[in-house]
Amino acid sequence: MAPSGGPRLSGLQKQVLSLYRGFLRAARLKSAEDRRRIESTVSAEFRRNAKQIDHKNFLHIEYLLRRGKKQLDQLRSPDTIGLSSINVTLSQTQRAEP
Amino acid sequence: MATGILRRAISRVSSTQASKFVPLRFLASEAEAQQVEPKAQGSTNLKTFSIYRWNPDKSGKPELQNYQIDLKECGPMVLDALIKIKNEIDPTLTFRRSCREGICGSCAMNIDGCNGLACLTKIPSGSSTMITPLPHMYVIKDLVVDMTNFYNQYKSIEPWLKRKSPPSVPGKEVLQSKKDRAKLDGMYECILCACCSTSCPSYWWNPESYLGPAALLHANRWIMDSRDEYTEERLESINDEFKLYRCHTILNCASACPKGLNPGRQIQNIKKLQPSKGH
Repeated sequence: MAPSGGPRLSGLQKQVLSLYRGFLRAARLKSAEDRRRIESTVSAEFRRNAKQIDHKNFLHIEYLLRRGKKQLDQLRSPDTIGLSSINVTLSQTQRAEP
Repeated sequence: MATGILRRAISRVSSTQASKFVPLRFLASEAEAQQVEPKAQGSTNLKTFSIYRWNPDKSGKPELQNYQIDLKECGPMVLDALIKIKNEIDPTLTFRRSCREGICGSCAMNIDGCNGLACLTKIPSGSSTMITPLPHMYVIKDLVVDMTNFYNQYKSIEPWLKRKSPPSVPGKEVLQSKKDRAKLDGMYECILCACCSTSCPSYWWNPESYLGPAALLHANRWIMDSRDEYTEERLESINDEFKLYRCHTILNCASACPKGLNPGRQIQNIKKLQPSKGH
């Protein structure tokens, strides 16, 4: 296995990287402030998934790719100015309930 | 799966659309009568539903989960059983549903190997039934599939009235004779549930390039509309090796359609109207 950044990438890895690149390119079309916020959100999401998800769980990775492509299409639209994410963990929701 | 669809095709031959709906109504009232005194009957009628489960937020593989339901305390349709499971056994079960009377097309799924609307499909007799998402579609969660590609294909045939000239009386509707209106029967009823497209082997192998029976049926609906003035352009835009001619008249679409339509015949009509170019 080549380390990340190595020359040989699987098809799936290439797809993930091209999706990431697509997000960075889409962010360039937004205002400077929005761009910075989008880039940090996207990069955090990609890094979190890279760490958390089993590298051999192709089903899940492909699912995330499809979801990401859909989100990218939405982000590309000129009407979209930014994106945000909410972190809801199970323990939080349980505490919130009376 | 293919054999299941074939089996249904055979049973469909003997039932017309009218006779298909009448018994369903009848059964619904019968079930209501049973519910009035469920305990008086005493015995229970247990049935197992094996339902496809997959949650993207958990790292597990897709699996079939079994649920046991007492049919004596459940409505007659598969959708009734699903709602009962979600209400009483497992609230995490995910599926689309809305009108529960076959007009919205949300609850399309694969029941015992046949595509159909859960709200129009009677719970099959027998001790167990398998319910899976529509075949060859990307699953979002449990029985919910990603319809983006399907809807984009529908969008690509430009499903709206296109005119070159304004209506004869400005600001009024464009009129149509009864005879011209009758040409739209068998097409306007389509609710875009995707049962037909996802039962089509050609669509399975070329979901991106082949438009599929549902989109082509709607293409024909606008081609045949007497008020539409872009007939030639419409024909030209789908006159394509892949978009149109991947239809090999397998006719799984006709046996799958829960509204009793025949998309295969409409596609045949488009092919007939195409200017011949040696096909």
